[in-house]
Amino acid sequence: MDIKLLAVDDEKFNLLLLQEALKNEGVEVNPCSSADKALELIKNNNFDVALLDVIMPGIDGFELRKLIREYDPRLPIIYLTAIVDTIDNDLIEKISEDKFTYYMKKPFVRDELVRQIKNAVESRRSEDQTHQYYSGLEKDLSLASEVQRLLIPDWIVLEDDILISSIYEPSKKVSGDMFDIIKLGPGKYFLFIGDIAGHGIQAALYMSAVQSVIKMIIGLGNGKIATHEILNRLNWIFCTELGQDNYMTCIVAIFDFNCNHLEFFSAGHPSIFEFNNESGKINVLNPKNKGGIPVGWDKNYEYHEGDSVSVSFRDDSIFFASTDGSFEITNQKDEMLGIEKMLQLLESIAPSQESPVIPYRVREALPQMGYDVAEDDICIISIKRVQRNQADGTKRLSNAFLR
Amino acid sequence: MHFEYYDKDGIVVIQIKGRLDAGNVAALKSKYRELSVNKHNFVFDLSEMEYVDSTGLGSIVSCLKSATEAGGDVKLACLKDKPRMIFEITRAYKIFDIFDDLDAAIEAFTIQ
Repeated sequence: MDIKLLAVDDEKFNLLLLQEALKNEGVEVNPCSSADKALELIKNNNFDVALLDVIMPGIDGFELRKLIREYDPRLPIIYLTAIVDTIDNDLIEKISEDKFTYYMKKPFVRDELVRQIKNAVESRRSEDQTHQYYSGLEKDLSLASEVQRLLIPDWIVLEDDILISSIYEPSKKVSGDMFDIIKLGPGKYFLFIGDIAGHGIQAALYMSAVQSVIKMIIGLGNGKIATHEILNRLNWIFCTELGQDNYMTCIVAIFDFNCNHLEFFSAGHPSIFEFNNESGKINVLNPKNKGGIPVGWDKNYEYHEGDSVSVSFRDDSIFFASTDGSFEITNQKDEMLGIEKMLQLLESIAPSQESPVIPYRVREALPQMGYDVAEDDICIISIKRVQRNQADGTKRLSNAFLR
Repeated sequence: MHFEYYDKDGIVVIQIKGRLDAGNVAALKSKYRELSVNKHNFVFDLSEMEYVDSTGLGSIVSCLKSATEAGGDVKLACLKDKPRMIFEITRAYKIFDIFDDLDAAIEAFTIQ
């Protein structure tokens, strides 16, 4: 182990002792006799450890430590001092103030000194490695977060027939929530919204894989595949190639604006809601809770056509889909928002706001209502039909599958 | 989260208390593995489970999978309101027998 050591003592004899004691131990001793010279050396070198005397004329060892810390907050410092023998509590307290400070008594025992120096340096190097590792992880997470954002549709998407707005809020840097819109043909769109169990990078990676699988399934079906068939294929692939011990709740839905018809299938996921402009009410489109279990729970599970939901809707209907994080948000008393309150909120906002604004208005309202403890990812989407002659400009469907 | 367990009429009852979430599912899975060496019929008493997240629910499903592979079962009893919501949304009742009463859950094994 090569160690670069700074030794500070106003007595030349002590410095000589240190140099001789450490000369065959892989330690390069840089002696100096004053705090000023020590600071000069600190500024211009990278030391692995410093040995300081406590009592020195002018700036003492503790003052010197303060000054050293401005250049190197984590340099291990070992005080060599005779006065520890008096069990001076103030001294011990001052030494202990700093996490990277140690002490040894004078006169030192050579082997103990060598051991203390090497332990202090090893501890620092190990901490540096850990620090670098976690910094690297943070950077990777930030990158993963950016990549994930690219895979999700923009916060607002306007296509020929459809206007979608979304709020997407990971609870940590990356999310296990995911949604996508794929154009199946003129006036026909496939919506997927899903929530992988767990959080963080593992969940995010699963979701990216699921997104690719979904596109493959839609592509192979030429855009004509039924919702229950999509889930059966997804479930099989998930269980045999992806999931192992994981699972995902999701909704797969097909909006057909040619005939104002919606078909969707819930795999353990909250229902799609519809705001009916005529009645001014929010409808739960799946009041009988039709659907199946989450994807990944049972590879042999069959999603049946009869468990899908089919509804007709008005031209001015607004649809909402979300992941459960949005209504599992709690207040300081640990009371959950719940689906009922979420529906009340949507119903109160929808009549007076343009559909793209609604998810944001909802999200803004939650902390105002006291619901500000969000432990899960939040994803809320609004979907509205756009009359073709009102379409004005286009934003990309980030993952459009054009027929 | 902590749990207690006991044997009743040859059925292992595991009482889960507190929060079952990503931070402590490993403990449940480990205890289940230990207990399932010789026993394969379980009732999870959830009367004091205050909260369960998706990872927690996944761990309960995982126990069920292990039990059924070994020819046994995991039944659930006494779900509280908050966790009940997640069980209803996910339609967990399609794979679990869920009882409002612990004794009924235990008795269900004898009726099977």
